[in-house]
Amino acid sequence: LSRRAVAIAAAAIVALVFLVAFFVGRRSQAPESVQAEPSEIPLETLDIEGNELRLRLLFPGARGRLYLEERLVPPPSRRVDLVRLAVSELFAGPSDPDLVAPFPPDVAVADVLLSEEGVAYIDLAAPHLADPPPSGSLTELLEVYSIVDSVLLNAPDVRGVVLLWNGSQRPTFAGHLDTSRPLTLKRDLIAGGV
Amino acid sequence: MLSAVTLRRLSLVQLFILLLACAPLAGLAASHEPLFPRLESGVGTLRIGDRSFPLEYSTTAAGVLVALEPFVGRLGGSLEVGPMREYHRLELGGAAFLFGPDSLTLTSGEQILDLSQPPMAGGLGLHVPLDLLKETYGRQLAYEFRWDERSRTLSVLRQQAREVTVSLDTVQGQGVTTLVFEFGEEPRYRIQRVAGGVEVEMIGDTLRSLTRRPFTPDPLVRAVRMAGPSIAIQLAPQAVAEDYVLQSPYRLVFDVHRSEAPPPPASIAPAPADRLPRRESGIDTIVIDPGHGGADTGAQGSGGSLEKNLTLIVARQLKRRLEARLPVRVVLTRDQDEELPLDSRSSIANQQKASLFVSIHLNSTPRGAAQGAETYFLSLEASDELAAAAASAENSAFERSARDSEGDPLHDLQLILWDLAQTHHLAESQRLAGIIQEELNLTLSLRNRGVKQAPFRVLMGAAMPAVLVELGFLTDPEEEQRLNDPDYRSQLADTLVRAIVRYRATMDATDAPATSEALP
Repeated sequence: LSRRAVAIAAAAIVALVFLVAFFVGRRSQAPESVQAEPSEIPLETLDIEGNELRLRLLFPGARGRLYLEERLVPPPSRRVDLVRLAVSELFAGPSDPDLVAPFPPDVAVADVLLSEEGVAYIDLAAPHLADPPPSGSLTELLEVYSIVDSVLLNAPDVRGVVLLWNGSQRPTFAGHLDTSRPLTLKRDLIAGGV
Repeated sequence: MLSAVTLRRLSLVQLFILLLACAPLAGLAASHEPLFPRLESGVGTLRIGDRSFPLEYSTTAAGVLVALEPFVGRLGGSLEVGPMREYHRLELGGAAFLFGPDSLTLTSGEQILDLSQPPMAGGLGLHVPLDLLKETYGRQLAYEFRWDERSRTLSVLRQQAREVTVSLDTVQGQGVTTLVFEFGEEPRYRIQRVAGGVEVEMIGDTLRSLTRRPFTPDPLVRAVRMAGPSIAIQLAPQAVAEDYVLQSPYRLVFDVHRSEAPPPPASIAPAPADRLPRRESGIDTIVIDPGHGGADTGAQGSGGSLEKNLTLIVARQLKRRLEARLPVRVVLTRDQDEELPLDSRSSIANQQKASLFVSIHLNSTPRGAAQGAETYFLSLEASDELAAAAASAENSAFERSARDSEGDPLHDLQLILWDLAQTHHLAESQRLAGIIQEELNLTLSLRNRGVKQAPFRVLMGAAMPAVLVELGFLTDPEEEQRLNDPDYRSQLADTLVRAIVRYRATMDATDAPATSEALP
C-alpha cells in the first residue's frame, strides 16, 4: 500500500468516528429536547409504577359485568394521547380468555379527539356496517361503557365520552342507551367495583 | 238479578275480547289461509266409561281437534252459539267460557288462555283442540282426556280423588293483603264469589291444611278457613279479592284490597249494567312499547329468534289481557314489524296522555350465560350539563330558542313544573319497576337481576311513569327456548298484568286523599 492510500484510509476512519460520535451524541440529547416540552398531564394524577403507567381497562365478561384488567405502559405526555392509549389497548383485547373486547375485530378506532370542555370524542369505524350491530340492552351497555369507563378511569381530566359511529353521532347504538350526549362513569356495571 | 246482570256484562266484555282476538285472524280466514290447515278429517270413537260413541275429528300440524257437541250432550253444560257462529259460549259448573272459530283465545271471566290451535268449523259443528276440553271439562268437572292416535279414540276418564296439602302465607302492606295458598300438587278447583267473600271449591280433591297457626284478621280479611273440600275467605265490607296462580310450586294467590268505587248512596240510580267501572285510579291509558322492529332486530338468539318479533307477540298479549282485566285503554307503539325511532315511542305515549309507559325487551350479553329478568327506570346522569356544553356548538337553533325564552317568567315556571313532574315520575317509575321485578321473580322463578337505572333514550321523553322491562336473555339457549313457548309467554304477559294491577291498587291507596276532590 502506498503512503497516500494509508493516509486516505486513516482520514476515512477518523471521519467515520466523528460521524458516529456526532449521531450518538444527538440521540443521547433527544430526551433532553422532549423533557423541555412539559407534559400536559400532571404526573400526580396518574397511577405511575416505576416509569410506567398502570392502565385500568374494563372488558365485558360473564354474568353481564365489566371486569378490570391492568397493564403497564409508557406514560403519554398529551391528554388526548392518554385517551387514545386507553382505547387502543382496550380494542387490542383482553389477556383473559373469559373476557372479550368491546366490539368485534372488524370495528376499529378511527379517531380520538378531546374538546376544551373535557369531552372525549371517540370515532369507531366499521365501513361494512352502516349501523352498530343490533343487540339487547345489556350487550349495548357493556359495549359502550367498556369504552366510556375505561377512558374515564384513566384520564381524570376527561369529564364525559361521546361515541361516534363512522363519523356520526347516533341517538342510540342498539336501540336502548342514549348516545346523543356525553356519557359519564357507570360504576354499577363493574364487577367488584373500582 | 245481580248474577244475571253480571253475566250479561261479562259476556259482552268477553265478546269484545274475542272479537279483538279474532280480528287479526279474520284476514287470514277471509283469504282462506287458516293458521293450521286441516290435514285429515274423519269419524273416530268417543269412549266414556265402557260406552262408545262416534266422534268427528280433524287433524292439523298442531294436533287433533274433536267435535264439541258430543261432550255437551254426554258430559253436561250448555252451549250458546252466535248467530253467525262467530262465537261459542259454554256454561259449565258455574263458569262461562267463550271461544270461537279461528281464535287462539279461550276466555273465562277475567282469565284469558291461549290455545294450542284455533277451533275450526267441522261437519256437525265446531271442532276444538284437546286443551280446550281440558280447560273446560277437565277443570270444572274433573275429567281427563286421552287421545289414541292409532285407533282415533278419545277416552274420557274420571280424575282420581286425591288429598292435597295446602299451607297459607300472608303478606300485608301498602293497602293490600296478599294470601298465598301453596299446594302440594296442582289442585283442581273452581273459585266462587259469594256474599261476604270468596270460596275455593275443590273438584274431586280434599284438602289437608299444613298451617297450624290460626289466621290473624286484618282490616281487609276477616277470616280464612281451609278444610275438607274448600277454602273459605271472609272479606271485610268493600274489600275485593283478585286471584292469580303462581307455578313451581303451585300457589293460588289472592290480592285483597279496597274496592275502587264505594257503593253508591241509595238515592243514586245504579249504573247501566254494560258500563265499565268508573276510572278512579288515574290510570286511563297505558302505552305498551314492543322493543325494536323493522331493520332493528334487537337481540338475536342462537336458535335464530329475534327480539323484535317476540316483544311484539308479548305486547299484543299484554294489551288484550290488560283491557280484559282493567277499565283502561291500551295503545301499542307499533302493532307490526316496523322500524320506529325511540323518540317517537315516548311521543306516542305523551300524545295519548298515557298514565303508564312500559317498554318490552329481551336481553343479550356478549359473553357468558346471563339469565333472568331485569327492570329499568331512567337515570338522569350528571352528563346533562356536559351534554348542554357539547350540544351548544352543534345545536344553535336550540340555543337561540333557549336564549329567546330567557327571562320569560312563563318559561321559567314551565321548567320548574317540568322538573317537579319528572322527579315525581321518576319516583313512580321506580315503584312500578320494583313491583314488576317482584312479580317476575315470584311468578317465574327467574334469576333476579333486580331493578336498575340507565340513561335509556326511550324513557327520556316520557312524561309519565315509564319503565323498560327485560323479560329474559335470548343469548341463553334455555331462556330462548322458553321465550318461544306460547304458554311461557302467556305467563309473562299475565305477570305484567298482575304487576300493573298491583301498582294501580297501591296507587289508589297512596292517592286516596288526593281523590277527595270528587267528594262534595
